[in-house]
Amino acid sequence: MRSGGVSGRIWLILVLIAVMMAGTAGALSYFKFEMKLRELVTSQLTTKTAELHSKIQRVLMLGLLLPELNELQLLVEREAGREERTDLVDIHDETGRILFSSDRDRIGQALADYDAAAVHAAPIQVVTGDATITIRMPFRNDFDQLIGGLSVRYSISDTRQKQQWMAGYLVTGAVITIGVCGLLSLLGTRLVVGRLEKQARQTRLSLKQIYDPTDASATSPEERYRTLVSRLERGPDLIADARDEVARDAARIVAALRRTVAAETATQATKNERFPADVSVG
Amino acid sequence: MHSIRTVSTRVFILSVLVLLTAAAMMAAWAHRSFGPQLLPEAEKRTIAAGEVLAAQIARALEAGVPPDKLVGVEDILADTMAVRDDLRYIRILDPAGRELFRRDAEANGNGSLPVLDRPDAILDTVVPVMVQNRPLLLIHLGVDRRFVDRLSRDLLIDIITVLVVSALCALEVLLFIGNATTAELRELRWLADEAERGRLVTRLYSRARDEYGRILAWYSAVVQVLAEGGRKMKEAIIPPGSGQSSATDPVDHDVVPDATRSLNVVAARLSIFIFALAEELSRPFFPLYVQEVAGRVGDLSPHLIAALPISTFMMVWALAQMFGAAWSEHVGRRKAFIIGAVAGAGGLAMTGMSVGFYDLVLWRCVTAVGYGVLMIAVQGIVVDNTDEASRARGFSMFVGGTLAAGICGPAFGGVLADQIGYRPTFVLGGFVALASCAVIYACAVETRRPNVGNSASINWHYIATLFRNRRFVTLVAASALPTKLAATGILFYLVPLFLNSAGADSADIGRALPLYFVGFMCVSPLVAQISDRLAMRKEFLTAGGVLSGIACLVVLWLDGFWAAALCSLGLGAAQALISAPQLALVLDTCDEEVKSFGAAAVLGVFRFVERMGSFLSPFLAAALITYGGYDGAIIGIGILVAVCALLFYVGFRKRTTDSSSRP
Repeated sequence: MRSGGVSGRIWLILVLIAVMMAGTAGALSYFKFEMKLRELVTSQLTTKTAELHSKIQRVLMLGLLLPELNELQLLVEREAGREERTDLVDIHDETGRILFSSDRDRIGQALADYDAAAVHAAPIQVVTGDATITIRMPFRNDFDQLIGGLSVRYSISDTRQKQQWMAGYLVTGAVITIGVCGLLSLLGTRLVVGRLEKQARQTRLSLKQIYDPTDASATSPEERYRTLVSRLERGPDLIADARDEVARDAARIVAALRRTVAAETATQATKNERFPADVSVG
Repeated sequence: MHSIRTVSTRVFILSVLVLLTAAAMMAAWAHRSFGPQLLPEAEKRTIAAGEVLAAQIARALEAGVPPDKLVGVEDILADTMAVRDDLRYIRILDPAGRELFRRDAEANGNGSLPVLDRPDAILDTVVPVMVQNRPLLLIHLGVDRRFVDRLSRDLLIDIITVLVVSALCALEVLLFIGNATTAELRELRWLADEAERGRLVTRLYSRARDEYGRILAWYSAVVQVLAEGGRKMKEAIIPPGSGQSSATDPVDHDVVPDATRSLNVVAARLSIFIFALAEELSRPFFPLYVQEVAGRVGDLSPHLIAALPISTFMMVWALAQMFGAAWSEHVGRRKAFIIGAVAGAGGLAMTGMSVGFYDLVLWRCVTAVGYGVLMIAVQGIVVDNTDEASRARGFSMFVGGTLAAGICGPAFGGVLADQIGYRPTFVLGGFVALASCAVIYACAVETRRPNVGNSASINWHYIATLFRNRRFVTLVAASALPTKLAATGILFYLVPLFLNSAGADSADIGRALPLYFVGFMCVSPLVAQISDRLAMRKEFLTAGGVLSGIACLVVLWLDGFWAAALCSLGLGAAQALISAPQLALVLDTCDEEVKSFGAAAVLGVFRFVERMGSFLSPFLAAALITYGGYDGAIIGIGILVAVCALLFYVGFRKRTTDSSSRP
C-alpha cells in the first residue's frame, strides 16, 4: 500500500479515529474511575476520622479547654499507631497552631494551608496530596464557636497503586483496541478502495502517454500545445476500455478536450496556416 | 463498478464500523475492571463503619462491662445508621449467635427503599469486637444490595456517557474526513461534467498527492497548455487590437468545484465544533469560577457577581455578530475566522489566568468578540459555499456542529475541572480553540459566490420600522425574549449553581447540562418537518413555552442531579419546539419588512433583540435567587416563560387580522 495513496490516507485516518476514540474513552474512563475511587476512599477515611473527632468533641462538651487536655497527646499517638494508613494526627486550636500531634516535633507549629474561614464554611475538609489524604474536622463549644480542629493525614499509596494499575490496564486496552481497529481498517480499506486505486494508477499512466507534464523536451508553449493536440488525437483510446468510474471520467475529459481543440481550430486560417496537417478537425 | 457514492458510503460504513469496534472494545475493557476494583472499596467502607463501632464497644468491654449490660449501644447504632443510608440493619451478636442489639433502617427512618424479599437482597458484613485478641461480639452490618448494584450501574452509565461523548467527537471528525477523502473523486467527476459542457477549469483546489490528485494535476497542466499555447497561436493569427474577435475562451479561470465548496462547509462545521467545544468546557463551572475569582465586588451580591460576566458575554457576543458581518465579508472569511479564533483562544486562556472580577469580565468580552466574529465568519462560509437549494442543509451542518459541542464540551469540561482545576481547564480550552484555526487554515479555501448579499448591515431605521409592527413586538416580547431568558438563565447560570449547592461536583454538572442539547437534537428535526406541514407555528411556540415552564417545575418534585438533568432535558426538548417555527413566524410576520430590507436584515434584528433575553436572564435569575433560592429561581423563570407563552397565544393575532393590527 502506498503511503501517499488514497487507501493509505483512508487507513491512516481510520487509525487516527481509533486512536482518538480509544484515547478519549480511555482518559475519561480513567478520570471517572479515579473520581469514584477517591469518593469511596474519602468516605471510608472520613468515617474513621469522625470516630476520633466525636470522641474528643464529647470531652470538649463537658466544658474542658482543648489545651488543657493533656491526655490527648497519648490519644493521638495511639491513634496514629493503630492503623497502618494513618500517617499523622494533629489537634490544633482555632488559629491553626498545633497543640497535640503524633509527630511531637510539630507541636507549636502552624498547620499548613489552614484557613479558618473554610473550616467555618465546610464541616469536613478533604485535602488531597500526591499520596495522602488529609481530613479536617472542626471542634466547637456549646455556643457553636470554633475552638480548634482535628486533622488526620492518611497515606493512600495503595490507592495510588490501584490508580496506576488502572491507568496501565486502560492503556493496554487502548493499544489492543487500536491494533484491532488498525487491522480492521487495513482489510476494509483494501476491500473498499484498493481496486479503485489500482485502476486510478492505470488511468493516470494512460493519461501520461497523452501528455507528460514533466517532459522537458517541448520548450515553447506553442510546441507543447502542438504536441498535446496531436497526442490527444492519436493517443490511447481510454473510452473503449473505461470500466471503472475514474477511467470513465478521465476518458470523458479527454474526449471533451478533443472537442474543445477541434472547436478552437475550426477557424479556416488556423487549419490551413498554423496547425500541423495531422490534426484532424471536427 | 465503483461509483463515487458507493465509495463514499463504503468509506463511511467502514469508519462507523471502526468507531463502533473501538467504542465496544473500550467499554467492555473498562467495565470488566471497574467493578472488581471499586466494589471492594465500597465494602471497606462498610468494614470501616463496623470497626468504628467495634472500637467503641471494645472500650466498654475492656472496662469490664458485660456485653448484655452495655448502655447506649442503640444510640451509637442509630448514629451510625443515620449517616449510612445503604445499611438495612446493624446487629450485635454474641459468639453463640444470640442477638444482643439490633437497629433496622425502618426504625431509623432511612428505610426509603422497600425491603427486598430475596435471599441475596442484603450483603452481610461481619466485624468482630476484639477484646484481648478474642472476638467477644460480632457486629453484622447489612448493606442493601441495591446500593452496590447502583454503584455498578452508575459506573456503567459513566462508561456509556464517556463513549457517547467520545463517539460524538469522533463522528464530527469523521464527517469531515468522509468528505475530504472523496473530494478528489468528486472534483474529477465535476471536471468531466464541466468539460462536457464545454468549460475547462484552470484553478484546482486539490492538494492531494495521491493517484487522483495526480490525475487532477495532469488535467490542470493540460488545460494550462491548451489555454496558454492556444492563446499564443491565436495571437499569431489575429493580432490583439486588430478588431477581429476570436472564439469565446472556453477556459474558466475563477470557478470553484462543488467538491471544494462542500469541503469548505464541512471544514467550517468541524472548526465551529472545535471552537464551541473549547468554549463549552467551562459551562459546568463558570458561575462557580466567577464567584471564586471575583471575591467581593463593592456591594454586589455573589449571585449578581456570577451573573455579570455571563450577561456581558452575551451582550458583546450579540454585538460582535451584528457588526462583524460586514467586516468578515471585507477581510475574507478565512482571515476573519482565524482572527476571531485567535482572539477567542486568547480570551479563554486569559480568563483562566484572571486575578479579579474586572479583568475576568474583560477577558470574557475578548472571548465574546472572537466567538462572535468566528460565528459570523462560519455563517459566511456556509453562505458562500451553498446555493439557494443547499443553504438550509449548510446551516443545519453549522447548527449540528454547535449542538454536538454543547453535548461534548460540558461532559469533558466537568471531568477536566475535577481533575486539573478550573484555571487549567480554561487554558486548555484556549489551546483547543486554536486547533479550529488549523482546520480552517489547512482545509478551507476562500470562495465567494457572486451576487450574494450575505451580510445585510443592520441599522436603527430597520429596528425602528420592525418595532412598529405589533405582531413582531408581541412575538419578540412574549416568545423570543422569555425563551432565551430561560435557556441562558437556567442552563448557563442556575443549573451549575443549583447542582453545586446540592453537593454535586463539576463532572455531575457536566453530565446534566448536555441533556439540554440531547433533548433539543432529538425533537428539533421532527418539529422542523411537521411545523411547516401543519401550519401551526403559533401553537408550537405556545406549547414550547408552556413545556419549558413544566420542565422547570421538575425541581418541585426531584432533588439534586435528577432534577437538574430532567429540567435540562425537558427544557431542550421544549425549546426545540420553538426554534424552527419561531424563525418561520418572524419572516411570516414581517413579510413587508422582508420585502423592503431583506430577510437577513429582519432576522439579524430579531436575533439581536432575542439575545437581549440572554443578556437579561442572569440578572433576573440572580434577583430570584435572593428571594427563593436556586430552585425558587428555576421555578420562577419557568412560570414566567409559561405565562408569557399563554399571553403570546392570546395576544398574537393570525395574519387574517393583520391589517387591523398594523399601524
